Amino acid sequence: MADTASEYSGGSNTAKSPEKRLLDMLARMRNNTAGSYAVHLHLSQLRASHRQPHFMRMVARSLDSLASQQDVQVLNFTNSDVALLCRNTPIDDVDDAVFRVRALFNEDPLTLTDDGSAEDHFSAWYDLSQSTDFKDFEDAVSAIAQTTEQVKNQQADAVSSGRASKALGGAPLSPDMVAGITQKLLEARIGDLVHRQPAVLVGGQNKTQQLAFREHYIAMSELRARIAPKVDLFSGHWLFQYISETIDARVLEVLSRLDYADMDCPLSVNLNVSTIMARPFQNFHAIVGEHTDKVIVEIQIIDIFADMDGFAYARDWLKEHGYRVLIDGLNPLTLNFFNPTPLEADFIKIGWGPEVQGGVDHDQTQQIANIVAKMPPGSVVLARVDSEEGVSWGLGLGIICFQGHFIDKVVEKMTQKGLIT
Amino acid sequence: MATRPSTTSHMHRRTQEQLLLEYLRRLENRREGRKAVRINLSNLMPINRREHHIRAATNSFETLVSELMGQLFELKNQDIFFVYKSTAHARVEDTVQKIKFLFSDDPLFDGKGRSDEDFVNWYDVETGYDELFNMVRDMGDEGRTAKRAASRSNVREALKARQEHGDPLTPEILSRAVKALLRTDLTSLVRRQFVCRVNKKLVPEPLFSELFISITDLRETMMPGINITSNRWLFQYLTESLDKRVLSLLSKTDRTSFTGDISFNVNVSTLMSPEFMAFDEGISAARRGSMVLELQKVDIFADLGAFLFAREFCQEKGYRICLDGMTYQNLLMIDRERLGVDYVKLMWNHELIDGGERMKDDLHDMVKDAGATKVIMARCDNREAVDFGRSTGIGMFQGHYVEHLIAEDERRRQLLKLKHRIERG
Repeated sequence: MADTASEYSGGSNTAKSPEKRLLDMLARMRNNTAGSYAVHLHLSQLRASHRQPHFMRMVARSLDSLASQQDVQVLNFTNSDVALLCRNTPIDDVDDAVFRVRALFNEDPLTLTDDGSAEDHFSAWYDLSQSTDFKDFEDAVSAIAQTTEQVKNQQADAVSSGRASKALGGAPLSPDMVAGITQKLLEARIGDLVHRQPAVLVGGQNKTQQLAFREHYIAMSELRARIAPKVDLFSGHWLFQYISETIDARVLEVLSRLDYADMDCPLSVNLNVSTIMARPFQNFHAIVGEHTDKVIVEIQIIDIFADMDGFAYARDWLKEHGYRVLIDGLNPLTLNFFNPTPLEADFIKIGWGPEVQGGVDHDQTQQIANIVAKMPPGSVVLARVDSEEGVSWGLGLGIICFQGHFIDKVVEKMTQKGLIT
Repeated sequence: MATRPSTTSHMHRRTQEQLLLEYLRRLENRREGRKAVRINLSNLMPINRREHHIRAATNSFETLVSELMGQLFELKNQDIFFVYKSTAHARVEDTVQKIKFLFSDDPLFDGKGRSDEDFVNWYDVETGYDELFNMVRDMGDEGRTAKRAASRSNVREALKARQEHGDPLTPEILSRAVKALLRTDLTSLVRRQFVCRVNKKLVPEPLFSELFISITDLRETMMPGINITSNRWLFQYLTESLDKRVLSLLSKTDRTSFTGDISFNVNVSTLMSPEFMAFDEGISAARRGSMVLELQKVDIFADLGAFLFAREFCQEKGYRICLDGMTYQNLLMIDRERLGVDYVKLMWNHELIDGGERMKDDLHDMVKDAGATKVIMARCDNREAVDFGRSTGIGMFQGHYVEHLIAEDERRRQLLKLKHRIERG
């Protein structure tokens, strides 16, 4: 079977795309369709995170057993859909394989619908001996072939106009690049890259809104453009985490220039546990002085799991000195597998991100509601809220603190009206 | 794979006095509610000061340390210094009493009434800070002169200490190491440790063996003088490269040494790499069924979506999945049933016993919920670990003590064979 990953990167321009090849096959068999059927797996409709090449590689591997049979053709489309073209193959064999692939994506909303039901969005079966099914399938494939062609042309444009590195994500980060990047990071001007985003408490009977805190963060895309435009900093977790330790130090430098005595609203900042117990934070601590209640430290869950004891120590130290601690990096999916309340943080932040596009299922929602109920009001923050839908979803679960592009707009309006100063 | 950083006591002994001094310096502005105790093991007879004695003494502070009640320092002359929160004073007194009991046959305690002060000194950090600080500072100076003298007479020891502590791993060294790994045969660095069912009579029955790369030996071979685990993220990156080397070792089917059911550590990213696809393609379905893949929680939660996907893929192919490196606290938080893993490894720690009946009951319930065939107690260093595990319903064990049981069992079998032969003869 062809390597999906290589087809992904576009392949050569002269070779026919798998969609086109399938159309040719269909044209050839039009008069001999007895015993033929096709299955179309709509993998292109999975969440973007599930459509990455390494996922598709494993899908291909799951279908290997089928592909080795003479009477089955497996076609991996450019848009990551997969079509199976079968002739007299036992339905159960194909069904098993399709089910295996489906099971891989159990956490994706695409598989929420019942397998084989009329509204199943994951797969569609076509009886090619029926002329209506044959036409439907042919149309579906043509439609994909068409969009693929368009995308390819756009990509070609992007390459010719020099936007290639952006379109392709850049070279994966490797250890030999790290020293150079951290050096640049230490030298670069970064004050202008530190942005602020408010978190707002919505609630009470009279629907008042009130600033909870302002997160100070570095816009990673801007930072990347400045220090490593051709590198994909996020290609792996570990080296990025390593670099983030240097980012911490620089951000703290910027935050050390603020006046904490006159600050109207607390700020929050994302830091590594290792930073907190080391010099960068201790220097910052000296500047904050007695105004530690103005600072909320955000810690990523991955950092906590890497060293639970280190986290507990840092958390106690921070709390003992009047800082507050927020656990970041959670989403509705992670909360379904892990309960953060024993970590004894003052806040937890849940991302309303691409993971919840297409909805959160009932179980997950219930689990989050349980966690919210256990924490003091306002201590659960729903972040990355970019629509009113997010706010109502959160309110329904008892969440009253929100952050995100949508909230930015709300705050802007309120500031104009003089409701928030 | 291979996340077994060495924790030899040499690693810190060199600078313990300095660390203690630094620690006290940091306490300067928050000395309230702190106390300290010095246990003068150096006043004991040399025969009572062997390594296992010192270890027994320091181990008794383990719980207090793990609960963050205090910091332990092992001084060059083998004395122990413990700085702690006053709230733990009663427990510290108990611990000191226990240690004293360990050495009750030493002439120091021959009842001439002077023993207590020679053995234990108590300090109140809050009121006696300056005095304590000066004493520790002087101690550090002594340590330095002593070391200089020692280094003349024992260059080998000094070198060894530096090697074991090492310079921190940097991205440049990591980059070189990753490249060098591709050319290095790791076969000689592979260690194995069995996971066994252990019955009431402490007879072990091996279920599978974990294969891992000895990190200490890897460092000796490839990066002498480098502290590989000094930065956890760089180390984690290194394990991804090790994973791939181990996969290639395992796919050489002519290697008869890796027989039986085996387990090994992998990163989620490795399971999704072309290397794993190639490995998977190269082994038979039956062999997949004999393999357990061990994953770390940090790795799982770094990208939960990827983990769930990879888990489904691997289990469907017949591999079993083990969630490695769990503590009692982790078990309380993480829903292992939803994670859908076949095994969970709970790391033995004395605090499990010190947690009292409640912790034990909790654990018992968790083991019952998970099923006795799911939970493995790892790092069992002594009989206490196995006894405790069995009392909570855990049936599977791993660790030095289990290796010891296997060796004992083997010897018993040999003796039995010999006896039969003699009887027949």
